[in-house]
Amino acid sequence: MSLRNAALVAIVLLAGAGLAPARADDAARLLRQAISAPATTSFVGEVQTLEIGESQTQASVYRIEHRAPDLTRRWYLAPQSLYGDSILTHGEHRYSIDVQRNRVIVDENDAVDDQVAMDDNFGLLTTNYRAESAPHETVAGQTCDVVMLENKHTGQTVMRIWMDAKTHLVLQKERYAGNGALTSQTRFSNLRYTSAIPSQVFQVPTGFAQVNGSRHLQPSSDVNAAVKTAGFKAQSPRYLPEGFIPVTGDVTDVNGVRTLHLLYSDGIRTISLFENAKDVAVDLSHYTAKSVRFENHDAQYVEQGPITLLSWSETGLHFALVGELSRTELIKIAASVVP
Amino acid sequence: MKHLTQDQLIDYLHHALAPEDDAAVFAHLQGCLECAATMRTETALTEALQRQAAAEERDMPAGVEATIWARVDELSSTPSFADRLRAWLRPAILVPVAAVLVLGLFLAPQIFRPAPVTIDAAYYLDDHAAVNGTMPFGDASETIPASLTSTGEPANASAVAVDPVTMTADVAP
Repeated sequence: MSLRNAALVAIVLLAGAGLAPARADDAARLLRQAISAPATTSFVGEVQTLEIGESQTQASVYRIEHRAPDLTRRWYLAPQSLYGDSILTHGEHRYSIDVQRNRVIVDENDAVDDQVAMDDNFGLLTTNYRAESAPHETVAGQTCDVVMLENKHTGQTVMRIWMDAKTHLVLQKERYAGNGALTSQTRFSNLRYTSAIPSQVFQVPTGFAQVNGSRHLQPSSDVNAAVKTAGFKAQSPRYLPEGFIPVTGDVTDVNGVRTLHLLYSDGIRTISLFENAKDVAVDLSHYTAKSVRFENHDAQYVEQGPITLLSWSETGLHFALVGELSRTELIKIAASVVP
Repeated sequence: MKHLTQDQLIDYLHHALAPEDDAAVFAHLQGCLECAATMRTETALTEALQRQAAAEERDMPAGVEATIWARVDELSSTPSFADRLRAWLRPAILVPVAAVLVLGLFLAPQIFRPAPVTIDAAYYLDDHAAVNGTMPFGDASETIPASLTSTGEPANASAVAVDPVTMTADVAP
């Protein structure tokens, strides 16, 4: 290589090194703007979702009306079993309107207002993932910024996000498994930005029986405090995939049974470990449950799209592990929970 | 001729002689006027004693019978605890009662056992989705709530406040 060519290569490398951090910072800024966009942007449209599991796939189509900052109605057009059902969200309150059973299930989730947790979790995301900008694309008639999130430990692309270049609203999102397979896709169509959405759209309809669902307090980031509150000797996995840490813990009395919920995450992917000391079984009768055996445990699991729930018992403790990792990975984590 | 003794006559009257002796005494009395006369005397005496005994049985001291019947009434109307216990402990009652008790003890836990507490898988799936809502791009609203797709009843769940503690617990960091 001549001196001239070497100098050119050096200039290109230096320029690239200088530009790369700027691109990453720019991508991270775009992600932050995307997260806060629904609080300032009102819109109506249609959303298609695809949740692809190892053995089953769920698809849904719903109309969406969102009035900033926190009123949302989703009205299901598909699947057929949910046609006419809708979900109203008023901030931390969610009303699931089940037309077939003529009831409204009311849930409360204080976690959605937890800005500190949101910021902490965004920090966790940037710790474990590299954000890379990609060329602009068009989704729902809008020009979009595209950002890919690559796992720093494995080098695999885990998520790809399309954000409206003007409003920063996420218009398309895809997630990928460890082997690169698509596991979920959410995509807008027929999008229209408007704040002229009548209040009646978000009113809870009358004539339905009201059923209390779950009430979630803001989960505690003090996981040890949650464990202490549980009132029994809780266990945690000795193995977690790279980048995962305990994020929150909460304790709930479910049907009179004190249940500890520990959440582990790497900033994008999450795993929930539920445990109780009453050996209270998980009722899987409403699902297609399958059996699996590991470390002398007879466990059962159900799949809902990419989410797997694995349930087993050991020495008086009952465990349920929920996550969107592969079943093999979940079993590996479950096997490391040794009382 | 040898006459009958008084003992022989008394035994004869009470039919206490062996058949051959009884026949010999009967034959003797047919031909011996003196023994027959003694026999009649003995018979009269025996009958007199029997009449006297009968008379004495009928004429018990005044109030005895009433006292006896009063006592009988008393016992039959208010049996003592011991009597009642003895009555209950008769095999005819005790055995069936014991059998019913044993059967009851065996079946009661199964009959009166409270319905087993279970938690619908929908609760775990929805709770995971709810907490996942704080993760960047982990919008829980994008997934269909399990409580809508499950045919089970929503779990009755209420959060327990977690108080910060300074001590460490057995959870790996």
